Amino acid sequence: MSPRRRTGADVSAAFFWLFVLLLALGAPVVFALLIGPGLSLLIDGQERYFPALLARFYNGVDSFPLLAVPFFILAGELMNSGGITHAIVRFSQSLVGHVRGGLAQVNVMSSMLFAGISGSAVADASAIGKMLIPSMVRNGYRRDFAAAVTAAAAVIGPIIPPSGIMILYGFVMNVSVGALFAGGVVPGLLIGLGLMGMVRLLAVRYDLPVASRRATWRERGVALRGASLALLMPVILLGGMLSGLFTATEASAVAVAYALIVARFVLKTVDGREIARILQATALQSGVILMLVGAAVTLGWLVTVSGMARDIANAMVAVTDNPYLLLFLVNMLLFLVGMFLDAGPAILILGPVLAPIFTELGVHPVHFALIMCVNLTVGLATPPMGLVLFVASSVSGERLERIVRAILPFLLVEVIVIFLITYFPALTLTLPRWLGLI
Amino acid sequence: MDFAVALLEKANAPIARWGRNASAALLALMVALALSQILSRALFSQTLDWAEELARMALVWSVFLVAPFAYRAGAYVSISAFAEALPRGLLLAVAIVVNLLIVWICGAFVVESAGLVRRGLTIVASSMPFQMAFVYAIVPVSLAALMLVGTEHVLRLVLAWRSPGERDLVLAGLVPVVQHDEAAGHESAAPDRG
Repeated sequence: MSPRRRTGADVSAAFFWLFVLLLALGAPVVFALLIGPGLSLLIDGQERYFPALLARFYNGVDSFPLLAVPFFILAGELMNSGGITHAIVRFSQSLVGHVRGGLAQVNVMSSMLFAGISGSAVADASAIGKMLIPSMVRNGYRRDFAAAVTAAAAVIGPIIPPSGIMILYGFVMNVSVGALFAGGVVPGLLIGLGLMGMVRLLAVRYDLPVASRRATWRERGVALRGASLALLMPVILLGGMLSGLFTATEASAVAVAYALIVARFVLKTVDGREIARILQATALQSGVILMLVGAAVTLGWLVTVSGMARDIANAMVAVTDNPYLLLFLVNMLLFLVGMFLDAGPAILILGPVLAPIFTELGVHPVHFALIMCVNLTVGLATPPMGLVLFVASSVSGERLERIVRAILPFLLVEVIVIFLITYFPALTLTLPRWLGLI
Repeated sequence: MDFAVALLEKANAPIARWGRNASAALLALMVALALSQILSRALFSQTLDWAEELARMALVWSVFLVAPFAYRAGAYVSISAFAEALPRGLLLAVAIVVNLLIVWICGAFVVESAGLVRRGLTIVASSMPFQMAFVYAIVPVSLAALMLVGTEHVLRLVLAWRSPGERDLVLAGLVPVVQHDEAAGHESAAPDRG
């Protein structure tokens, strides 16, 4: 990986160090991904590769499967504005509100259900947090604890399908998005159940209150009917994809249509002005993500032509050729990266470098993809750059450092799940195999 | 320099807003195209190739159109933890260099994209009767708009150097010129630049 090292294409690895330097200096990731290679080519006197760089950048955006990114964001925003969050929380409360620490359990369960709609941890933390953190505080929960539960549970959003980061991974690494979606179900449920178990343990220690009396089955039925429109969405999407009625990308368009019909015509909670606002917000969010995809494709191309990918592979295998030990090391690396970088950019940058190494060592591509996605998603709730922590802090009004301390037991659960899915591939591969996706 | 900043702001603010609105409209078009493809296949057993190609083109345009707004609003993700630890003067210097580099890379790509558009004149879209140059044209347009926003950021940072204070940093582009809230529809949230 020496900057002086040249390859047949006469491209040095200086671009990588320039990229890292620019990141550290606070440059937006998308521009760091373009300036690093651009400057490096200039230093190497290889400006002739500039047209190729631009072509990769353009082609990185020009892809039909990528339509799923704005569509799933749009569907989540529409559902959220349509008051669906309230219905989901009411349903969760009817199921687990009566146990000790009930509101915290409702928070985790709502996140699991909301994950089937939004596919975004930030949307999850914002929607559930705004609703539940104030109620939790009013009911005697410590504010830092309420914010920590929200942040920890929100990471389930991109793990249970649909998932924005899995679409990105599938596109960049050419892995079946359907298989990734199916593979994410068990890890998402494990994290959710693990968090509920941890809440149960802490409920005794902190003497957390129960939220409500035990709901009757009739009341649960009413709450289920209220949430059924939201709960039906993942069923329609997965059913449509598995039956071959539509692809993952088309499923995202169906999700938008469904969310629009529910919010505009059934619940009548959004009007034309609100829809225009949602479209603007979604265009901005998805534009930011997809620009990053294009820029990451250029970096990925240079990683290949400079021979850097091969160098990294050789360096890793030189440490050990034991895939289990390498998986442990890569989990450490991903966790460290996840502390500083958002999951999407991290996947786009590291996926093309790491995945071929592990595929070569016999790790199934879907298995490795899930390890990466889950690990980096948990990184959203780790300091110092945990996006979900920032949202929880903003929504709760609690200081970040207090939330960081309170979230540690929940992070422990998530780290345990990461290692479970790493060393028991059946947890991620069984469902996609049953469904005939791999 | 104040005059130059005011002039750039006058140009950049409406361009960025217009780009964001056009991008939102294209998003709605993409949804309609993707749905029409599913319906056409389900109802008439016919695949609409043009719908897929047009949706892809709309996606490209949408991403490039919203870019100036995103850059101006500071919506592109960055790692600020290390930079924020720097003393104010050094932070400003670093931000100026970073924004100058952004202007440079966008400029370099504007030059290269002329070639891309020229090549597009010889390529016809596979399912529609028009040249791909019309699609590629958004690349230099968007990059040129990004250069203007980057120049506005640089000038604001230089102005901030001369007049110390937290508020100047906000106006200088270290903190977004357009508040993020605007993206959520609250247009009046831009900071006062008096």
